Amino acid sequence: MSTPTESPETSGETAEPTEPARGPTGPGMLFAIVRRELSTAVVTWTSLGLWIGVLGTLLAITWFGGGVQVGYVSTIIDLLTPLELLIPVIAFVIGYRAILGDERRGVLDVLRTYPVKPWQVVLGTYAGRAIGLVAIVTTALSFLMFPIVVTESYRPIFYATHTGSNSPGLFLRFIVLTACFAMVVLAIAIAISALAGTTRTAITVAGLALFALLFGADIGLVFALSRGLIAESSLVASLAISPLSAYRGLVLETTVAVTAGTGPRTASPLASAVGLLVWWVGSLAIATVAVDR
Amino acid sequence: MSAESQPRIETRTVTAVSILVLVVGLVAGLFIVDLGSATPEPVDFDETVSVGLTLEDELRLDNSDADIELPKVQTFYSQYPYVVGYYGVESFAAEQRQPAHEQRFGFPNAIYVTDYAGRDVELTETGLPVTGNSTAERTATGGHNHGGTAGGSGNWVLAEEAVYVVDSEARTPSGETVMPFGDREAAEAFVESYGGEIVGWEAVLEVPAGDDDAEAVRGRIADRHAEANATVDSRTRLRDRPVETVVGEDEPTVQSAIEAAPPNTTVLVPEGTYREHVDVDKPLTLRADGDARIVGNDNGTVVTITANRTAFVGLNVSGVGGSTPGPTVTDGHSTGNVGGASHDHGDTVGDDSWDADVEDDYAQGDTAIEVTNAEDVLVDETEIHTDAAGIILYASPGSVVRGTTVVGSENYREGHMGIVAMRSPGVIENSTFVGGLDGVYTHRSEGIAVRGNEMIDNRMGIHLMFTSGALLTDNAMSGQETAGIYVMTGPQRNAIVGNEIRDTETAISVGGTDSYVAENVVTENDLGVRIEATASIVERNVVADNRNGIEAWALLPTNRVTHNDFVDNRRHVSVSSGRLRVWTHDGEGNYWEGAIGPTDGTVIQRPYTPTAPVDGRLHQVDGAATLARAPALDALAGFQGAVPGMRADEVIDVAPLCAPVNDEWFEATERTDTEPICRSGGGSAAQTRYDD
Repeated sequence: MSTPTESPETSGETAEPTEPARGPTGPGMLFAIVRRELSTAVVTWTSLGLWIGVLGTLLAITWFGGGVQVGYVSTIIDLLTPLELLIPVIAFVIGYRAILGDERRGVLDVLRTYPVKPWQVVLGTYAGRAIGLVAIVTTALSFLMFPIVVTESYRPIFYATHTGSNSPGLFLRFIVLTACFAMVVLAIAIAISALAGTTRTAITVAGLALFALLFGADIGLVFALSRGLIAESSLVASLAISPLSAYRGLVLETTVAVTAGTGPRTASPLASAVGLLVWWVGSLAIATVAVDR
Repeated sequence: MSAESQPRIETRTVTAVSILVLVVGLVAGLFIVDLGSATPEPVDFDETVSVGLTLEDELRLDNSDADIELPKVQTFYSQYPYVVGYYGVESFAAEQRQPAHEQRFGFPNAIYVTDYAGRDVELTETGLPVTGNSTAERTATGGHNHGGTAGGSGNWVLAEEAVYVVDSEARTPSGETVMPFGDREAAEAFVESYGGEIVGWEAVLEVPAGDDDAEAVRGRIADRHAEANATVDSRTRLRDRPVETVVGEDEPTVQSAIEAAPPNTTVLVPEGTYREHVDVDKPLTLRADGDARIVGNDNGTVVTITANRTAFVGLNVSGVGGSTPGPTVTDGHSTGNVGGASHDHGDTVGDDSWDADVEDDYAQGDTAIEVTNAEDVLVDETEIHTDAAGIILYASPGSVVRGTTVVGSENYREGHMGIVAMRSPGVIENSTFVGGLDGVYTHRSEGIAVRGNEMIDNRMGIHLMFTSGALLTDNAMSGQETAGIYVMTGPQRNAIVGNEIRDTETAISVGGTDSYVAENVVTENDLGVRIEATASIVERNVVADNRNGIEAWALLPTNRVTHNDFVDNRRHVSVSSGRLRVWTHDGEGNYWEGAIGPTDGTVIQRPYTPTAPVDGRLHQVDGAATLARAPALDALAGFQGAVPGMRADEVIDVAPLCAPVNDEWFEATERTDTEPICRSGGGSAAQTRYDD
């Protein structure tokens, strides 16, 4: 992600943690790594391009889907499936070389000369890129609220209208859930980056992992359900196994179901949240172990 | 150095942690707060999208002297942007029991009912509630009375907080009704005067509805035909009265023969041309023997019938005067009375004076045969040539017109109706109407049957005004300038079945509620069917070769549109307003030429959205099928049907049929463009039907 023009900054930044007295457990080291990540990998022209691309894609989807002309909930419905595909792709683009790249350029070796613990490297790298990813996702999604407000303000003359459950609060929930989902997927990407040995394997592994994430987990759920490995009664909780299904379930349960009324439950919010949390913490832990090698 | 930096970092950490806590708290709050349950204030009932009252009842109530206030409900649904108003609490109770109700609207965020407490409610003779003590005082008394003061209709109470009187003497124009009260004392006082018992909201939701819905209409069609057959049989027997008088032998003219003949006999009219005007004022049968023609002097009405049980058989009538209602009627707006009224209005006084202008305008002018205040009349095998009206039936219920031909004015603007049936429910069958304004025009003829007629080149074929419960079946129409069948003024329970309509501007335009439109074949029209009606069933129609197949016009998505065949229309469906309609019921939708996807032998497992840019072109544009399979489109289509009340105004069929329903028709017309895509060996009903 980083471009050659930033290498001077990189050296400047790495020069900062020159105070071993602060102690390895001090958060200063962490902040330093986060700051380095932000300036080298996040605040770049590439990221701006990515942001524009994401925003354009979201606008196009909601416009042609018709959701943005009607309201918040319909926009959520239009975006849900596309985002399930889009978020992992963006997260992998941002994350798959994060640690690997540092290793390739010898940055990790430099860092190892400082009293930096592996978890600090992982967390710092992750936090820096996560800030960038979350910023891209939340600002792009928030931007969509403008056309909704504008188009929603159109009202027929003859009839009274009301918003029903179509509140911006539901859309904010959606933004938050999507940001969390993006952070989890980024953690997975970071883990892959830490595990991969070479750039070429990183691309391959990231691609395979992406594929497994997008299709494999859900197809596995379908397989397990049809073979009776998952009881029908526990499907709603088992959805949490797949990050995509956990995210989808959370969105449906906390936004769409609020307006749609009763019916079969779409997800167990708690199980789905725990599922995402496990993926998140687990991935970062794996990355830490991998860096420690 | 470290002593300085330590507090700096701590401050920073504290700040970071506090921001983090704040963000987490806000985010958590976002999920804890209940976003679905805000209770909106009631609105003026006029601003709701209302159902449950015909235009006739509305005009009648508006016209009434008493301050009649029917019990009403207004509902704010979670996913539907319009406030839905119901006349009659029971009409809401019935609607919310419909299987697809919650799927279409979401759940109610708030339901308000009319509050009669403290308003001196009384009932009229017919049981309609009248409020004496209206808004001003009530507002002062406050109570749990929510806002809204416009037009004396501002007394609302939350449905769950009200008590209800059921089985009392209270009525709406549609029948028995439930009376809501904001407090129990008022309800008890009402029960003392008008009977009934007090129940809560939950019990009201279970109140059985009358058998007035579209399914009931469908179920009654066979009975209605049997009734019509009985009427026709009874009237046909009038042909067999004994011949006592023969024109030309016993009497010189038709009129003198009528005057000479004893009642309940036949006057026989031998072959020949009779230049006279005829007035039948006693129950007689006028029957032609050969080619008998009655020819007027091109001035005024030729035959006038004012006696019950008159029969007019086999004669040819022409020489009708040219007086027509003119633009008042042709342009569809009754702006006032043109010329003198030709009828005295039997019951168009008092509460019924609301339609006096309509009766004056539409029943005036010259006509070949005028039947006024005469019951059970038969017009059989008559041929009429007229530049004005053919037959005007005025307040003559039980009349039968059959086997008759009316040839009207070539330019409809200069003509009048083939038949005007004004307060004259009866049977019109096997007749032919060429040219003129409307083949059959009805006004307040509840239960009229119009069957097996042919209508060619009129303004409209059949035009229902203020007419509920009509049976319009097996008519063949073509060349209508405005519409084949046009149902106006929001009536109820009309059945439009088995008609074949082609080459018109609009084949069928159906308004009102609880109506049944089925098994019609509409082809080569500008528009096949316009659905203005709500709570209606539209099924098993063939919609082929039209510019627009069906136009979804009704704002409320309460119709059941399934098992229709859409073939080779330039656009299968167009929509005018409202929100998403789901045209699927019980897992089966319609047959759409062009719909693609995997099938289970009965339905296609890919939603079809005829109003969408790609799906709508599937049957016409090469390459559209490839584009339709793009993952991007599938991704969008995935949840489209999830909350229809919050989707744009489109039509979606989530289970399109893979083979046409009316395959006999397609086979008979030797069409090759209805490739069914059901997998072989599916063994489903649709597949079997097609294989047969």
